[in-house]
Amino acid sequence: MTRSFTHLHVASGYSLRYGASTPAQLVEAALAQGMDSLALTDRDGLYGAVKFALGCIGSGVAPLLGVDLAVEPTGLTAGLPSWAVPSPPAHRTPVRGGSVVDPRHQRVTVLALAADSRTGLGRGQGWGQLCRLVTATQLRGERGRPVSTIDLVAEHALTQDAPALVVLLGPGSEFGRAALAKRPDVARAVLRRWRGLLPDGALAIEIVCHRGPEGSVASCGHAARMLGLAQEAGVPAVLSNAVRHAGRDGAVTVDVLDAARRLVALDSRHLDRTTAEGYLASPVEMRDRAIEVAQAMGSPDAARRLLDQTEALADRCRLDPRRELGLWMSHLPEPHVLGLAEGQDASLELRRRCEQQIFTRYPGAGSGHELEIRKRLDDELETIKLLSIPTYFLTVAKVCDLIRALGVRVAARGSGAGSLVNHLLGISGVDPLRYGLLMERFVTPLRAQLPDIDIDVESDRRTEVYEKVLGEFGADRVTCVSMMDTYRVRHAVRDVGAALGLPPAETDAIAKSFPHIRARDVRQAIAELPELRASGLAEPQLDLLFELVERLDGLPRHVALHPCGVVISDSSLLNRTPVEASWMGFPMSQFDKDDVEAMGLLKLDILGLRMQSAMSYAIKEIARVDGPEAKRAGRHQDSQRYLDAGGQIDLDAVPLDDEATFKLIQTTHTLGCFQIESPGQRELIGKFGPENFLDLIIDISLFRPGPVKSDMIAPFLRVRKGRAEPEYLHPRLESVLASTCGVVVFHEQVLEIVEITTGCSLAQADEVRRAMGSQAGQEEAGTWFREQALARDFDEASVGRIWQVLKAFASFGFCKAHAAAFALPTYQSAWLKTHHPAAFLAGVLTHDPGMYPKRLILDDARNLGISVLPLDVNRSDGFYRVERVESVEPVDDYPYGIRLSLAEVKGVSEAEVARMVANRPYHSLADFWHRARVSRAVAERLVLTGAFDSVSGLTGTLPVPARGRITRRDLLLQLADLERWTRSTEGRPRPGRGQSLSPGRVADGVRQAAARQSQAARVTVPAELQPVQLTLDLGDDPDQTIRSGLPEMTDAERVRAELEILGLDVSRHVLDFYAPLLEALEITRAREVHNRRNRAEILVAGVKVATQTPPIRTGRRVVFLTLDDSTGPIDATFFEDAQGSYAGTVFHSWLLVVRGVLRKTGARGISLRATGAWELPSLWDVWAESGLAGVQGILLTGRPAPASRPRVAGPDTGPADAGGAAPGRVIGANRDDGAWPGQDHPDWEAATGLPSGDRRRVLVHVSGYRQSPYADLKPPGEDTRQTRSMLAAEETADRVQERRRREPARKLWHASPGSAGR
Amino acid sequence: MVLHVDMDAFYVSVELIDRPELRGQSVIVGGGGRSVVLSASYEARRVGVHSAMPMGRARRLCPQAVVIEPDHHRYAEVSHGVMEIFRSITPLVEPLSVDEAFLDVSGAVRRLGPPTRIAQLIRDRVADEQRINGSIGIAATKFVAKLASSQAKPDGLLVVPRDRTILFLHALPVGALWGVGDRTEDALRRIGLMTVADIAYTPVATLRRALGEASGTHLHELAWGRDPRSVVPEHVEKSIGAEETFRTDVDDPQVVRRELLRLSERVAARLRSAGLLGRTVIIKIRFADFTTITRSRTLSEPTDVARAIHATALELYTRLGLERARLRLVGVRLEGLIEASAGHHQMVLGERPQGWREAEQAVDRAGARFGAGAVRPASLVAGPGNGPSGDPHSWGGAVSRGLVS
Repeated sequence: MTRSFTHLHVASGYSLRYGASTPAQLVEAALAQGMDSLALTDRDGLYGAVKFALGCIGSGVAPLLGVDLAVEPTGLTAGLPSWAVPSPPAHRTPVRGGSVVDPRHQRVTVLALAADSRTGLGRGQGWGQLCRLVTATQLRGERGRPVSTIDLVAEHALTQDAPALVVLLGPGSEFGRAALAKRPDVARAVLRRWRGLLPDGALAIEIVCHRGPEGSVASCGHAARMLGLAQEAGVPAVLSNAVRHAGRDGAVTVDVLDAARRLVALDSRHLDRTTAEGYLASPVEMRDRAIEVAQAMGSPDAARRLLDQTEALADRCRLDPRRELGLWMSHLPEPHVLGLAEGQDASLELRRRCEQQIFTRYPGAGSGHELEIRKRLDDELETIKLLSIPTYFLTVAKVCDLIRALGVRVAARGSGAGSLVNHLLGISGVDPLRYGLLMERFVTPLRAQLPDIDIDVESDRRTEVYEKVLGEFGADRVTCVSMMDTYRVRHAVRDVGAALGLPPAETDAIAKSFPHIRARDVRQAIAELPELRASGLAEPQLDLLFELVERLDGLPRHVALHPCGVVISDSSLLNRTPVEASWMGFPMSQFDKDDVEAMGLLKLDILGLRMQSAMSYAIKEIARVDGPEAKRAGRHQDSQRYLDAGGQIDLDAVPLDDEATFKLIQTTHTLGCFQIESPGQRELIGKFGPENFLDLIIDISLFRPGPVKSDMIAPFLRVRKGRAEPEYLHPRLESVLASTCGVVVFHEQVLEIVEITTGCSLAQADEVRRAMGSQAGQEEAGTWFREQALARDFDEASVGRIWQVLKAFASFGFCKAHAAAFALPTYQSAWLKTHHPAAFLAGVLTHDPGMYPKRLILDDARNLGISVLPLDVNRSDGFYRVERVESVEPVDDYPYGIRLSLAEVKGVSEAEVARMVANRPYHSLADFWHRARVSRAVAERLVLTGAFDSVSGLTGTLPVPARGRITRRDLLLQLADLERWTRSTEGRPRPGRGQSLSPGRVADGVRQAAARQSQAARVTVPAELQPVQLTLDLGDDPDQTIRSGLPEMTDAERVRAELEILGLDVSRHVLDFYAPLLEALEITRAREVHNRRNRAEILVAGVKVATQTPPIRTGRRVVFLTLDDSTGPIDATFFEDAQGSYAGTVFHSWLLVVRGVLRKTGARGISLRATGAWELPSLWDVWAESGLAGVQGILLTGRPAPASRPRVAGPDTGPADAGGAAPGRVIGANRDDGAWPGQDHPDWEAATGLPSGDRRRVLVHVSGYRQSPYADLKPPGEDTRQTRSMLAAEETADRVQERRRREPARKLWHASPGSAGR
Repeated sequence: MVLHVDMDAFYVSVELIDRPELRGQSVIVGGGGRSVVLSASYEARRVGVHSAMPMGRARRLCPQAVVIEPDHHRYAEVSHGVMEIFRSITPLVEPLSVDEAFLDVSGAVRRLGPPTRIAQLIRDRVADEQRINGSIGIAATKFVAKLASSQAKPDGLLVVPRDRTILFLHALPVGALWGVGDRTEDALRRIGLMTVADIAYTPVATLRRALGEASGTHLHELAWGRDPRSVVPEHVEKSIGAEETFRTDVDDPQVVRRELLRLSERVAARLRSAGLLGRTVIIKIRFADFTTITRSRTLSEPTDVARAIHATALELYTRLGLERARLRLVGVRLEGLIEASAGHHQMVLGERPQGWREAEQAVDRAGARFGAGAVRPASLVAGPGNGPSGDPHSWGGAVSRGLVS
């Protein structure tokens, strides 16, 4: 009969770069071994605790929770040999290669004790103390290097006379190390110290036997000595296996993790383990180890005692997760925090506030309308009361009020827009009644869960909002949410490459050649993607690399601040979540958004939306530039009420039916507009032609994978354009489907269809909708649905038809409330672009919200008749400014220009920008040098981009300056003189970075500690507070610009400098310089494409603007490429037959020539099926060397023979939306994916020379929707993580020269996650 | 007149002597594991392989290439043969490396004909006797000759007559000039100087403003073909050094220290056999990413004692404070060389007269009798692996066995 055994010391993958198994794998392994309890003691935090507890609940294993903490040395072990007590290195700054990371501190394991009636420990107290200990440890010392102290541990171990925590001293503790060094005297002293500080019953010795060689850590001898000392001192000893991996084979993974954590190469010296024994061993194996240790000690009966004591301790630590952690109980802020008086009923207060707003939100509502409003309000309040969450709404309302009080734009997104209460409280701006949005999609009595409200704020003021919320509610109630970055392929390649000692440049090249896929798919990707094989990644020498890469898949590697999650709770928050500091110094829970939800904490997503910043900026610019003239300038009607006399626009008061705005949208000139600027969306709106706000909601909902799968775009457009009659599935459903031409587009429609067909409530209908997300749920719901529908007199055929549609829709469709919330900024941005294009584009350029590079936005501005004004030190700001310019054409009343921003200059710091602006105006370069005090490199870049042209009287673009004129080159030489002079007078070169001041932050407790750990750059003193420098003229500085006779920069040199320094081609379009070749090749320009006949094979050329690999129906990979040739964007599609030879070129080059076959569908529908792609500079070289014939020779080779062309929709299909069998459709576009549904020819693949069927993987969604694993998983556009990917590539020296010629110095295009390369 | 003779893809060419069947194929000479490409055939260069590229990358770029382990002995032999041919033409031969040299043939013109004929003679004899090809540039000055030979590659001959020097030079891009690296090239481009002609016609004062006194003046001189350096046949040793590239990047300070000892031994032995003493100890550290630093210290008196060199090298290394930097290469070098006979040893009070110098001389003698390395420091005696015993997954072994390239 084997006894049970409980592992008390177990690390999961949430011990970052230390543990190799997920909590779920550990629970599973424990179950397989027949264990009924298991501890999770991750390093330095409780990151995995909630997931572990949930896993335990699911499987019936009792969880124990603890933490493995580094502890500062007590000094007692000083003088012991370093092989036994590795001490952190004495700190000096190494020349290169960095200092040692992850010093081998002594570590102890701390477990939370369970509530106990005998000792008097209350429910959740042990866990609460554990959370507080972790928080205290994280917030002391330096961020990211949590090291506790013996006093801190002791302080938290005791609560109200009962021990709350128990400390295990294992082989890695000072006690264990002293035992390893065979110094029992020191070990005893350490033990005495701990016993003196901890309450009784809060200390145990942890015996670990990993069967390493004698003398190594956790060898049997070591364990025996520790056990002997414990017995002698009368301290209980427990057996553990210091688990790092669930099974034996995880040992290799932890080695890679050790190397990755320490940033060193794999070598035995750097590994923590001596053997592969640190896995979740079975009770039998653990008993054997106990016996081994006991025998080594010479007292066999010690084994039984050791095991007994282990189980006794485990008994004291088994937690009931529901009761002790408070899972699923809601913990909302106390009423007094929300301004409620003692005893005031929150639900009455909520009703009062809502009713108060009815007449401001619905001015002039008729009595019928008012009745409808009140009825809806009553229903919603009833549900809210039932769920007892009125406090939740009051809290969110308070947050929104706080944000508005800061003058920051705020808008709700997501299903919350479906609630009238939210609309009345000012949380959401969309009227749910008018647009048919349902409360039930947001919250129902059937789901006892806090609803989810997301709010968007201006991205550049998001931290300000956080500060405000923290300040208002207090840091004991508010914390940000974290998220775990897990290993995906690129990081895994980098870490494993470094561990294996691959040359850094090689590792970098390999990592970048992969799209952003999961690490475990790495070998599949190599097998499937031709461009990877072509670069030699399939060579057997790389096998080990990729095997290890796969092992890292999905393991947490880095904890980061969640981009928007904020938790607001009551004052017991810190007893329920451990908190650490984010990089910017915000308190951040160690739990992620799912954990926080399970913990019943109110999570509010406060998302920084750059479009909100851009719009806010545009409004300020309008008031600044146009002021009282704004009304005339923006062609606003006299009757408007959103514009005041000073030119200040209240965007939220703008009516949603402006005709001019919808006209603009219909022209598809929507670059820069929220949600409708991508190539696919521009094609869709071109064909759809939205006429009102509801159309915008539909448009946004259609442009999703779900509608594509359900093949709803083509039928929708057919009905919409009057080419077909709508079909309503069933006459009784007409009212639901009329607005969308008979097509199911919204979740809300699903709810209503289920409601009408089965007679259930909307709340139940939402449960049905949710159930359809899984295969099992779908089947179950299907049976129920049939029975109910038939019972309600729906005929068999209709029921089948309706269910088919619902099933296809699965969970893929779109929430109408969410779409409506999105449509608001879409409309607002389009409105601004219509009426104030210059200010709007200045906002877009300043806050960079979209998917396109700024150079394309500038092109758009030029096409709208707005001048692009060059950098000028006396006129440019840190933002893109709107300026009135001289009218060129007399018809134009208000000619505008956009002045480039100083912040765009490569390498300029915020402080430098502020100084430059503060010290304006300058009268010469020397004056600027002395007063603006920027680094020489920045000053040089300013000269090269012409920022001193007007100061120095340089005249524009004369190709050859008159003799004796000053040139930019002369200014560069003067700059060199000035720097030499400064160096000689000041004795040191000018630093590159500017001064900064620490911001005065109000903070308390946790907030203060977290803020102190901030590693973000200090806030720069804004321009208006900068001290203004006066010139100190000593008379000997080189203040004269000497004419050297050096030639002025040519146009090409200017553009090159602009691209390198600003990332923008300001003075001329890059492609201009290739004009002769383009002409010789008879390349079609973007604006002429629609003049070419259907099915023509044409050549186009341009600068790469974006690559995307969107999900398409057949599950094949399709690459969309957008080029810009100054006359507009051109989109080309690469199907798999064209990817083999050309994908590499498309992903890794910048200037491209593309050959393709034109396909025209309808008035504006144009697509180009690419058959080849080449680098333009290479073709230029060939042209220079061997003339046109040479170029044509290249363009001809590699052309697939006509016979091998895959069968694609093209010549004989006609317009896709003309009826008949439509080819598989790409989202919202008339690009087809080259395949016919149901007509997949197996030889299709064979003909292309690609590997055939069996090796191709397709992800099949529960709805039957197939998608390529390389498809982008989210729509393009704003990245919510706010990462700017303008990374200058690290290059090996030898490639730089070549690249310099072909590639811009900065990344100037959008690459979707499915794209390889930069 | 000066000739610059440069062998084409030297190591590969030597290998092809014995394996003619590989002609026309992609051939790479380079070590196994993770060393760098030493030489690549023109076929391999076409797909982007070049010397000094890590082998792993080269294999990836050119999987079809035949990779040959270098045989330095053989290269030295051929190099020696080639240099002998040069010396039979003129005593004024200045070798730059194993496969290139400057020849001043002014004195041979009367005997052998004009420089062009001499060059052709050299090419023919090298091809005939050593069966490899070389390219030759002929010009009035060394740096122009070198430019000419690089333009003549492969297997060519280019003469730049004195009166055409300027014409030849001025057509070249600025980067071609000796001493113009990436940074200088950038600075020149920024002020619009693209060709050597642009430099030549820019006032020296302007160049000095842009580049500083020395290099401004120097570049201007070069742009007009002025190069006072002459061909110096006898290569006077300015330094003696040794360096070692590790088989895998190393971050173990113990291994580095041991390597420094080995290199110090080697350098000291070479000093003694050359009868020289050195005063400045220089260590060179190349990191995994190929960036390189050097550190030096000048001793109070010159030495040829390994122990003294090692002590200084060790101190220089320790002072870097490298905690986890991965090193690719370490080197030890001595400069400030003087004849041993000129050095004098200041006895320190209490020092034993029979010191390490004598001990090491005894080692030299033992080496001469029993072979090099007969006697060596205990730490350099190879032992069994230093990983933890009993661990079946010892990574140190796995990696160095070459599982990874």
